[in-house]
Amino acid sequence: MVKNPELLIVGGGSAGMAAALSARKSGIQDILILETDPYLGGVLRQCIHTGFGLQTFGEDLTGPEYAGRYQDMMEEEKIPYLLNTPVLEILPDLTVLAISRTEGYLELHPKAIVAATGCRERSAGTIAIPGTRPAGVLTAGTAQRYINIEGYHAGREVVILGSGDIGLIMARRLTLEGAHVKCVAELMPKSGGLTRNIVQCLEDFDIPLLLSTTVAEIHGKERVTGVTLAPVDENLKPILEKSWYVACDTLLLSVGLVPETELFSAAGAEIERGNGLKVDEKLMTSIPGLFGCGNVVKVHDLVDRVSRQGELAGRYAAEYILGGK
Amino acid sequence: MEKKITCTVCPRGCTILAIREGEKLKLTGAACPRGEAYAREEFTDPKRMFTSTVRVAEGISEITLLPVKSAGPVPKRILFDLAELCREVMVTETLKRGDVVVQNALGCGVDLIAGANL
Ligand SMILES: Cc1cc2nc3c(=O)[nH]c(=O)nc-3n(C[C@H](O)[C@H](O)[C@H](O)COP(=O)(O)OP(=O)(O)OC[C@H]3O[C@@H](n4cnc5c(N)ncnc54)[C@H](O)[C@@H]3O)c2cc1C
Ligand code: SF4
Repeated sequence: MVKNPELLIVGGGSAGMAAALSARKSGIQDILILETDPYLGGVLRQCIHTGFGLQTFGEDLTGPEYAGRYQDMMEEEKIPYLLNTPVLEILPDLTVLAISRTEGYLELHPKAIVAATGCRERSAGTIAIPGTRPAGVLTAGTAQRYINIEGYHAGREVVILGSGDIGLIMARRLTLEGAHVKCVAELMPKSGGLTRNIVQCLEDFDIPLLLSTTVAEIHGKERVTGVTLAPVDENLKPILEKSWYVACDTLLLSVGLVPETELFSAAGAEIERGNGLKVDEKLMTSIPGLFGCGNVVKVHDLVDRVSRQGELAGRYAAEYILGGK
Repeated sequence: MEKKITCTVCPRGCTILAIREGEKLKLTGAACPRGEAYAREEFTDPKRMFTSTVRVAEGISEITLLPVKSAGPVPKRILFDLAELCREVMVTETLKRGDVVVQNALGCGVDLIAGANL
């Protein structure tokens, strides 16, 4: 039997774990984290590259190492969590409905909730590229998860659209795994990725970065056979007269992240213009007792900032519970 | 010989021009000494952190792929060989984060270590 926690945390990524630890430090005994995945750590688990934790730990860690440090602290504090447990619905009175692989259907009534569900990638369906959607078109993050956690191969001849850090990191990973990354195309005149990633993920392997360029069409019936690339004008419209064809069996999309807010907006929580959960200076949403932190509030580049915001959310949620409001 | 190097030590990303003049290396464009040291190494023997995954034998853990990293920077020229090595390694023990997976990988003097607990 799962009993009602005082504080319930939705999502066991870096934001959720930091929130739990700091709420415990602020005097909340009864905490429960619910996590959909079969592991804690969220997106960190698939980010096997280094570049995490320089601020928090003063060391250059990989994603799994960073997550592992937090998991150790969670064990030490004996903070309870349920894996394989998606939260299905939240009601405005903070009732939480979830389904757990081991505990079955759950209806919980915590005094406060921390929303820490992170973000998801814009997928092929949500961006406007003409042509088909055959197999082999996938988001960079999905490919990262396939390769780094499940051990699949993603493709032999690859084109990547989007030069944010996820796209760059995947260009290197695929190259080292024996794929031929033909190019990274970027719609904007400048890459949004870190200089370090441009040098170490593209230049090191002579992978061309094509700025002000986009995928104008996707070709292939069952599997991708190629893409049409085209330069864009100042309104970001493809100049089709100057387009060219590139054969490939895989197209990775790294075209942006969207906060995972549906669960909370369905309960009535307000959404910020930039698409994240709207929170006040104490990280509380428009629903009293519902707090938010990490990528569900705003997409963060650095995990250290996510952890810091998680800590604050945990503390404010604790104050809210202890204040008896 | 002449080489244009983008410094990656800090986000400022200075472009440093390295020119070999006989025995000496002339560096211009670095805004600080850390950048000069980086450019010197980048010109002679560039080094990188290496990360990958290795397979875990059945029955050891529910984790089937173990993330690994080099315990320190390794020569850039052996990155592909290390990736190849990782495709061949199979872990057969219950390793903990930080444990050595491959000692002195390919004789480069750096170990590959486990990035997670099995
Ligand atoms: C490819 C990539 C590279 C990055 N590189 C770096 C880097 O080099 N350095 C750096 O500092 N930062 C980096 N970041 C950023 C940083 O890692 C993330 O911003 C941070 O880890 C996000 O933490 P989070 O807890 O907000 O979200 P997440 O880690 O996404 O965690 C959210 C969790 O909520 C769970 N969840 C979602 N919905 C539900 C539900 N309904 N019920 C239960 N659980 C749910 C999810 O399964 C997930 O575990 C990178 C991010 C990515 C994607
Ligand atoms: S030279 Fe110095 S200031 Fe310039 S990028 Fe390198 S470390 Fe930063």
